[in-house]
Amino acid sequence: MNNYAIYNINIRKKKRRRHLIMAFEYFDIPYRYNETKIYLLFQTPLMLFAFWDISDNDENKYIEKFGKDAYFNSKMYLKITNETNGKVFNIDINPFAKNWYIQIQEPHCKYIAEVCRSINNHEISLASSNTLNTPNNKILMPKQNLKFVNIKNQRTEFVITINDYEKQVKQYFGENVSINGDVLKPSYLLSNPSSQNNISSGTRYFNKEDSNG
Amino acid sequence: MDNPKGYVSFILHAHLPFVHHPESEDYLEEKWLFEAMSEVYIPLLENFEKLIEEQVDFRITMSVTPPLISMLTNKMLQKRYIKYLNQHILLSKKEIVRTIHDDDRIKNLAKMYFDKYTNDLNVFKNKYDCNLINGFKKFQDLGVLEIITCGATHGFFTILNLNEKTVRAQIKVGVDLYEENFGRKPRGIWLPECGYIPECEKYLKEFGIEYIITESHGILYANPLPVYGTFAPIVSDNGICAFGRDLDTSRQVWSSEIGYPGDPNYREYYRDIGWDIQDYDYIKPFIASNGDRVHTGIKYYRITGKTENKDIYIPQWAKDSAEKQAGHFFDARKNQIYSLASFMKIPPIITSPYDAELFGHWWYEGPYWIYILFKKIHFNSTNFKLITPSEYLDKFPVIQQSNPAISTWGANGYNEVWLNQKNDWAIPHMTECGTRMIELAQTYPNAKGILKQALNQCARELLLLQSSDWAFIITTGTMVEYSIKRIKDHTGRFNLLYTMIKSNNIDKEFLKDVQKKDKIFPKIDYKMYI
Repeated sequence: MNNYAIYNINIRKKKRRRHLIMAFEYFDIPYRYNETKIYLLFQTPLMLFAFWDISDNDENKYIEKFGKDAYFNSKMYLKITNETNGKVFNIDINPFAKNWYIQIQEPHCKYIAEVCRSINNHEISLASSNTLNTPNNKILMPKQNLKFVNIKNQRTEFVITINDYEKQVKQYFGENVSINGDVLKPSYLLSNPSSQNNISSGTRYFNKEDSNG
Repeated sequence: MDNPKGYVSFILHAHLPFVHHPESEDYLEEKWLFEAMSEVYIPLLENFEKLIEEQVDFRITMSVTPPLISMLTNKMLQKRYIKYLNQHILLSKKEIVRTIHDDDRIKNLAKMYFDKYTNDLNVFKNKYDCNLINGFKKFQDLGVLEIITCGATHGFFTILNLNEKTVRAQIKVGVDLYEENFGRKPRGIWLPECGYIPECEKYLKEFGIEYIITESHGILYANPLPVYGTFAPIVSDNGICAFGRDLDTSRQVWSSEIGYPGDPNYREYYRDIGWDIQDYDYIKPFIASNGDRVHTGIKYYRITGKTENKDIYIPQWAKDSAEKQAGHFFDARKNQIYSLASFMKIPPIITSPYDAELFGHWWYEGPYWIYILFKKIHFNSTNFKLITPSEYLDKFPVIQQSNPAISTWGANGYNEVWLNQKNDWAIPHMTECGTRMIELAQTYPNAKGILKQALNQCARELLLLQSSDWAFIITTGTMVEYSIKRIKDHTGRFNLLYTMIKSNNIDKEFLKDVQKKDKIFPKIDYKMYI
C-alpha cells in the first residue's frame, strides 16, 4: 500500500536505531477523488473559477435513467446564477473539462454555479456550488449618514451627514473626483507598487527576478 | 512630543514557509531562513537594541508568522544555522587572505563580513540563547514592539473559505502558537497575503482578534465609504477594526523604479562572490552541495546605476544615502500629517506595512534606515509620533463604522497570484483534503493513541499543504520544482494517512517518518476540525 521507499537509516553512534527518516519518498497527485462536487471561487471581481467532478456512481445513475447515448450525447454546460440580480447565463463546456474560468459582467454580487447536462431537452443539474460573494471593485457612494462609534462601549459619538461628507471626500480624493450614480471615481490610480510588480507578502523574498537596483 | 497631530505605524510582516528537512542537508530552500536570520532578523534586533540604548522612544509592529516561529524555535534548524555561520566565518576569513593585495575598499569589506558573521554567531548563541524569538519577545515586553499573529501556515483565506472550518483552524493554530511563545494573546492579525473576506470575521472575533491590516482598497472600497480613506481605521459591523495600507509610503519604499532601495550607493544584491569568483575549487565548499553556484551573502559591489559595470560598495556612502532618504521620508510624513490633520476630526494614522525581508535581504541598508528614521522622529521637532495599531485603538476608540472590501495585496489586488492557469491544479487537492480532514475529525471525535497521532499528523499535513507560498512561487517561476514537490508531498502524506485511518491500518513507521519531517505545531489538536 505504501508508495514510498526507505533509503536512509541513520544509526546512532552506539549502533542503536534512532531515526528512520526516508531520504526518498515520491507521491503522485491523485487524478481525481471521484466525488460529485462543484466549487466556485473568484479570481478577480470580474472573473470566476469553477472546478468540479461528477462521480462514476452518479453518472451511472443518470445513464441507467436516460440511457448511455442520451447521456453522453447531451450538451454539458455551466449555469451561472447571479443571486443578487437574478440574471442567469450558460456556458457550454467540454465534457472532459474539470475546471473553467468564467468572465462575468457584474462585480460585488452573489453567484452560484451548476454543472448541467441538457438531456432530452430537460436540464439536469449534476452538481451545485457554494454561494460566492464577489469583491466590490469601486468606491461606493454612501446612502446613509456615516457613523463614528466608540469601540469600547459601542456608543455612536458623532455622525457625518450625507450633505457634509461630499466636502470631506473631495478633501481626501481631490477636487477632480467624479461622482457618477452610486460610484465615486478618484482621479488617480489606487494600485500599490507591490501589486504592479507582482510582489506580495514574504514572497518578495523568493522573487529573484525582482531587483531593487 | 506631547500633542502630536498624527501618527505613523510601521508594520513589518516577517514570514517564510516552513522548510524542514531532517532527511538531508542539501535543500537550498533551508538557506532562506538562515539568510533572513543574518540579513534581516538579527540586524533588526540589533538596531532595536541600539535605539533602546540611546533612549529613543519608538514603536514598531511585526507579524512573526507561525511557520517562522516554528523554524526559529526548532533545535535542528538552530544547529544548522550555527553551522551556516561557521561556514561564513571561514569563508570571510579566507576572503581576507584572498583579497590581501586588492584595493583597500575590498579588503575592508572582507573584514566587514568577517566581523558581521562573527557578531551574528555571538548574538545568536550568547544574547538570544539560539532562539531569536527571545529577541522579539524582549522588545515586545519592553513595550516598543507589538507582535501580531498570522494564519497557521499563511493559508490564503479567500480560497480556503470553500471549507470554512479550515479558515478557523488557520486562525486558531496561529493564535495558540503565539500565546505559547509570547505569553499573551495577540490583539492583531496579519491576514495571509492581506487576503480579507468578511466570512473570516466571526473566527477572528472568536479568538479575540481586535484588528487586521488590509491593502488600500480594502478600506477605499469599503461600505459605507470611509470618509478619511486609509488615514483612519474603520470598524466592521462585527467589531473588527481594519487599518489600510497607505499609498504614498508604499511607493516611496517599495517601488523598484522610484523606491529608496534603488539608490546607486546601496549594496548590489546580484553581485555575489558565489557567482563572481572564478576559482571554482576555492568557492566550491561554500556553494550548493551539488556544485551549483549560489549566493553566499558576501557581496562587494554597489548598485551604481543601470550598468553591468558595478563600482565597489562603500558602506559609508550607503549610510549617507540611508540618512538622506530617512530625512526625505520624515519630511514627507510631516507634510502629509499637516495637510490631513487640517480636515480630520480624529488624528490621522499613516499605516505603512512592508515585508520584513525587504529590510536587510533585498535592501541591505533597510534596518539602518529604520534606525535613523526612528531617531529623527524621536529627536527632531515634528508633528507626528510612531504608534502601534493597538495603541491607536486604545487612545482613539472613536472609529467610523464601515465594512472592509474583499481584497488582497497580490498583483492587481485580488486572487490572480494564487489562482491562475499555472497553479489552479493544486486547488482541488487542497479543497478535498480539507473536506476529508473535517470528515475524519467528525468520524473519530475521541481518538486516542496512534489513531490520535495519525489524525493530528493529518491536520499538520493539511496546514502545510495550504501554505500560500507554494502557489506564489509557481506563479513567479522561481523555485517551482520545490513548490510542486511540497504540494505533492503534503497531499500524498495526507491521503495515505487518510486511507490508513479509514482502513484501520496505520503504518507506525510511516507515521513516525512524517512526524519527524513535518515537525510543526506539537500541540495541535485535530478536534478543531469537528
